Amino acid sequence: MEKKYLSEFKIAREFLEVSKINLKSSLRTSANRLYFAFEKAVISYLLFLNKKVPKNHQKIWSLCSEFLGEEFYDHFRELYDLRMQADYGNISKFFDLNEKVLKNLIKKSELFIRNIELKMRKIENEKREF
Amino acid sequence: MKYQKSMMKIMETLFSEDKERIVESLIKESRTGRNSSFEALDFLEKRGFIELTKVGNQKKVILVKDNFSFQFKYYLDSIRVKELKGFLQLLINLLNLELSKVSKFKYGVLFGSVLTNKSFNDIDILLVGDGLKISDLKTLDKMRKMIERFFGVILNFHLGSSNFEEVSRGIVFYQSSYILELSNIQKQYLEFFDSFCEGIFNKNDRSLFEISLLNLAYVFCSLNNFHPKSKKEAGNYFYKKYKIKTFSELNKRGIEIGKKIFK
Repeated sequence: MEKKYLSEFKIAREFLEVSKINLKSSLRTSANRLYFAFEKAVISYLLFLNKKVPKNHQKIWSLCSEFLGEEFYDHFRELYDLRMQADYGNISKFFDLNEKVLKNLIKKSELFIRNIELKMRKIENEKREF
Repeated sequence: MKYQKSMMKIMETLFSEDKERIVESLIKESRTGRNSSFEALDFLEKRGFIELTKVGNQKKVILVKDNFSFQFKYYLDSIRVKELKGFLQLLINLLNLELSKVSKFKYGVLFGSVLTNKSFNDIDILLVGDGLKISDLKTLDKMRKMIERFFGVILNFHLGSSNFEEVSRGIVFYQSSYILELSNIQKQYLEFFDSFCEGIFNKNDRSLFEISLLNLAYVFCSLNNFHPKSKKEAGNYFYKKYKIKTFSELNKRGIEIGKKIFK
């Protein structure tokens, strides 16, 4: 059976693609999927580290900051604001939900997700060498 | 002043939901005595807090929405704020200090699941003012992050225009006219809160851990009317009760002690 963290990471990639595809047609779908793409990637990393994954979003963000860094937490927060606007309308508006903002955040998310993938590979290689 | 109890219950009912009511159903909903209710309604009508209009054989009660009648709401809200459970009062007090720095925020209104559910993940806060923009929220960014990390909750800020409908959406917990005067122990607690959050933001920095631990120790000493002569004495006094080694433990105790200070 495929390891859970790998299947979560696959979903993260899938959601990221959906977010990119929907950038022109539906900003709301794109923002929603982008948040969950990033969340899935972080969950994948936590599972990889054998950490228990909380159900609460904020607790996932806190763990993310602990194991990946503060910049990951901040990115999570930005994506969450956009997702809230996309799903529930005009709330928590720290950023405007528009194509330009979303495009930048997709790029940033891609880098962060790639970073997570590299971290997992590095740890795996170190384990193998050990 | 007579009929105070009935009057408050009637006003509480009228503010609970914005709808027209027949006198009979208002009395039933308010669970007030008939005689005192009629006297209270008469009192309120004569002074312009409510309007009574005839509908057939019955009378309809309408709340007059103005700044004077809304004083009743703010009074009732102040009681509800004081009744909030857990860490919410502490959170609100910390947030109020930040809101007071932005004069454009006239009211802070708490609404949503936090008022109805025991378990909530998000706290919805409506900020009311004239011509509020996204840029006004930027000033709250740091405090929002500090509060979210410290309490493990998500704050959702909503912006609203200054009108009676918006302030009626929930409990008013902040008004720009508030006097925010802190006691020494509260000031000391804020030092703990700041240093703790800095520690968290700086990847659990150990020196900031020690500083925030000491700050909390001083708060704890003051709370128990113990006046330490040195840092060591404060630390030892605190250590007798709490043996804290991690940020997570410090966080838990910080909230526990903070609740006692900002209640």
